[in-house]
Amino acid sequence: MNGEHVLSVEDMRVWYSGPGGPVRAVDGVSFSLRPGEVLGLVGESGCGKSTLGRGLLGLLPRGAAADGTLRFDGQDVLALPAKQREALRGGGMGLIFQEPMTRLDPLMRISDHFDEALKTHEKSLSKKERQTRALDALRALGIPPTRFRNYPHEFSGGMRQRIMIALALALRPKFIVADEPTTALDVLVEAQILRILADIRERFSPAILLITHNLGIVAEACDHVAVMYAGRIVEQGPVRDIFANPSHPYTQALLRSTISLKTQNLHSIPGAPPDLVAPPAGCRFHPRCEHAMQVCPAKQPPQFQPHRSECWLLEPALTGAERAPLEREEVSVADEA
Amino acid sequence: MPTRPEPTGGSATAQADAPLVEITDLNVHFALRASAAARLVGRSSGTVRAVDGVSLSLARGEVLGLVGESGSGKSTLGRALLGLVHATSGSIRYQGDELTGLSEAKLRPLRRDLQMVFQDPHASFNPSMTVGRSVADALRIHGLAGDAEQRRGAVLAALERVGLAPGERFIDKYPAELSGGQKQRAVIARAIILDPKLLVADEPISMLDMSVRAKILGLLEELRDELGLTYVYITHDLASARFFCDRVAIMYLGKIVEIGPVAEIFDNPRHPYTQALIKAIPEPDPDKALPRDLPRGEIPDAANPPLGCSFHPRCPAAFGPCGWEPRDVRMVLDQRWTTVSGEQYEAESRLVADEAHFASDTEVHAAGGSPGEVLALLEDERTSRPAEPLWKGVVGRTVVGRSVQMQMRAAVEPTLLPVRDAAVSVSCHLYHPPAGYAAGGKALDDPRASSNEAQ
Repeated sequence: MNGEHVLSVEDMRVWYSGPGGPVRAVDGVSFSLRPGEVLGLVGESGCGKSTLGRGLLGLLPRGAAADGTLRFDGQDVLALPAKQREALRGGGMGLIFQEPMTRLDPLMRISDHFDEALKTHEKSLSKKERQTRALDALRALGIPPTRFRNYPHEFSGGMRQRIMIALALALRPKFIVADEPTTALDVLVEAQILRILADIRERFSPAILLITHNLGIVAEACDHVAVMYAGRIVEQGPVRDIFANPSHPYTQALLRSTISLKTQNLHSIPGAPPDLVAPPAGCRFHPRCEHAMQVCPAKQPPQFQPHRSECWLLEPALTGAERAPLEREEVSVADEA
Repeated sequence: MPTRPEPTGGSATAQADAPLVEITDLNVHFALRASAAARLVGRSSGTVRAVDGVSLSLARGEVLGLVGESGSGKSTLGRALLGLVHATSGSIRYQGDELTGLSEAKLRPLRRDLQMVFQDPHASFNPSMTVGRSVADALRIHGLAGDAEQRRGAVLAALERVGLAPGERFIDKYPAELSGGQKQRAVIARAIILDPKLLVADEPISMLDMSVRAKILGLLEELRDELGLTYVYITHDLASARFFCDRVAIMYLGKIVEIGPVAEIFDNPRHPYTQALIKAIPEPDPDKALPRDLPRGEIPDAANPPLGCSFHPRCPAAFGPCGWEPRDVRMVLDQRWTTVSGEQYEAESRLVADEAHFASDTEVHAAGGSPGEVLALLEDERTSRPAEPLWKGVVGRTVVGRSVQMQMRAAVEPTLLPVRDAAVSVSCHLYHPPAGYAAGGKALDDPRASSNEAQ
């Protein structure tokens, strides 16, 4: 792992139009990734994690806009014209989708999927080279070459997800967004895919942004983790540090509410994630936070080291008035997600 | 909660310690629909044994977990319990009354006692009916809580019971106006409004966010304590099963492979499948890594299940009697070809005829090469990966004409039997070796084994 960042994101914003005004799905997010590094992006549904992934790749739907700085491979990607940006996808940046069952064309053989992808992105390859490249990628994912000419419906869900990963890998991208790659899969198949991702890191060392809601997967597959809440990354850092010493109350609550084999008592987070059209003032988590202080709704907290946590609890120089506990309305069960 | 009058006579007299539900040798098979052409020529389309000879009993007030991967038959078993799918054969007794074979009209009164919570709260409600109407529908169908006002009162009470309080805020809302967690609470309100005895909860938390799962699971737990409910909790999530269940049945391809008290299953899993499932859960602990020796492949096609023990092709501990068959040789060759170079694959795959010849035959046909070359290929595979369990099931390889015939050990189907000195039953030859095998899998007196195994 060298010190050069493959990808660095600064103050990225993504918003799209909603019935009640612009929805600020990603609102000022910064992080960076080195080659071979896996960053886990976790959060509840609707926190903007998938939108961020799509925004990085320039795959936002019509009506959405992105702003900020996105440096990839030395280029300022958001400033590039659309054509050049498109050329970055595939060989530069790849995507592994969430639903393997619906992402392959049912009328195309697996071999044709590879042929099309390679033809589009690497025009210089001969037919023979394309096939070799495809078979190598499939073999790396444990798909026997005997199945190369099969159709998608002849494969199980786990096999299709392997094929999706192989399709992304055949183009040898430097950066991959993996959006919930194991969510629809059974536990044993999920474990197989996580093992494969680990092997891929060793062999190809792409930088991976792994979007998930499962903290177990973060612990298993990632070096770094970024915790996202209501469009912002509220804490990020090495997985071990964050799991051992979470400094943001949201991270703490998320870790506590996860049901694992060791769970003795159930914990949950009161309330529901906010509406991103008009998020709460100051720290967005303050209405659900058990430690909320007077300062929390008043001012957006800056980032505190070591985890770049956006939480006023980490500020030593608060006045007594600012530190006074916030009177909170009792959150009724009914208002919960 | 509305209290309904005690049913008079019959089932109410059942003893308190008798099981609430007793399932004996239950089969639910689905016929596969063949293509029109296949039906014209009279080709049979086969059946899927979704539930295949399951027996279990449910004690009053207990939470039984049905755990397995998709395709294991756990949901079908849960639905069969409520009569939502028809049992092909076998018996389901609820408080002594036989449920299988009952007509819908006869079953309906019993359904007041047997309710279900579905997986997807977003698909569990009619989007054009208010939540209140959907919840009241259960009362209406069963002809309870007479007039509209009484019904509204009962619905309000049920909504508040599941945490949707004040009920007035929710009763006139449409499902689309509720969050996922709120919808699932409303689904639970609809299930408990009839004051049921048994709740079948099919993956009730799997579609919800992490921060909400704990709340819904907590609600189910509260309801068990307060209403004395008995649960069948269907899930693929072992962590929540461990927390919530008293007893767990692990299912694989329509059969229960292991069943026992939750502590015993998790602390001392016996079946290799249970062991693999528990090891494969990604725990939120960076110091714990997933094992490298995961079972290969996926749950097989239920229309064409493996011989013997259904888990044998994936099982790291499989041995002689587990059900080895020629198509497993194909699997091993496919696996080999993911590790060799492209040229070697080209050369080797030409030797062996294609897949069709494996499924139905006991032979590996030579296609592009001589049977001798096929034999050499198999021998090379055997020596390069001696730990492969398949070879424990192969007792001989002989050349017959243009093909190599594989002699496999006779398959013995394992049955679910109690383990000595434990409250657990397991369906695995490792614990109940068939005649001719010692515990742990050594063949005792197979003369073919001693003479041919060295080949």
